[in-house]
Amino acid sequence: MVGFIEVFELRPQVAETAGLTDWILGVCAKHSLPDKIAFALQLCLDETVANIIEHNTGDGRGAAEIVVSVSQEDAQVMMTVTDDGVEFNPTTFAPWLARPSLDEAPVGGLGIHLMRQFAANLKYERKEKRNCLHFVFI
Amino acid sequence: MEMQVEDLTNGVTVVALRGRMDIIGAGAIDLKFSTMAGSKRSIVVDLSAVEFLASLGIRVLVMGAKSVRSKGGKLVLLLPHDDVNAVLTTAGIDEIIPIVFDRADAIAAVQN
Repeated sequence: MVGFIEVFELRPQVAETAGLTDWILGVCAKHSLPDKIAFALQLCLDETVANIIEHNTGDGRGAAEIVVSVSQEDAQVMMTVTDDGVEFNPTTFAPWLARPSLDEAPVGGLGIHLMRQFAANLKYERKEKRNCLHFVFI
Repeated sequence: MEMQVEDLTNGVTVVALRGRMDIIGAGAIDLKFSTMAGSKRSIVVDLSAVEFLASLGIRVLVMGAKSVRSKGGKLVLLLPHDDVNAVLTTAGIDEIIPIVFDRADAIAAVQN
């Protein structure tokens, strides 16, 4: 049985993520999601949207629209983030390797690692010309 | 995202960050933080009022730490709350930038 479904749409622009943050905080509060799941949701959402915006190259192949849905079924909270940009599957990236020193540390590339660690499950599919990332949180 | 810089008399700079270090927050302080890191040698970054941290925020901290280190200086992170600390440790940042939970210890750590 589905407890709730909440949906939010935005354009892949930094300024629009303010509304997204307000929305996800509101969803977490409205449905009294546990703090740990609420934080993981926000983190995976921020990383996913940051990736979509970063890959929005302005050459007409980038996404024009992002759709986020959050739902709950029993103890599981699910989130799906879809965009209509060029095919991009972040789950194919090699596992993140922590570096032993500051000098060797890269300054980017962490997002997918954090998604993998903070979500209980992460799957990608290309469906109807959209990138779909499916997260499960427990 | 707010950033307050306090220069102590002992040469240590305490940078207090407040808010969400997300897409917007990291972008809001990126230039100010890198400028500050480029001009100081002993920096304590107080994270106690940072309620959320994502990879773009980590990027700001790592770039700042690299900048300070390139001048032979030190930067430490002070008092991240549990969720923020979990992000830092999951990213392995605690292996490359010290995370300290006491202000006096943090100040002492960057003075040495």
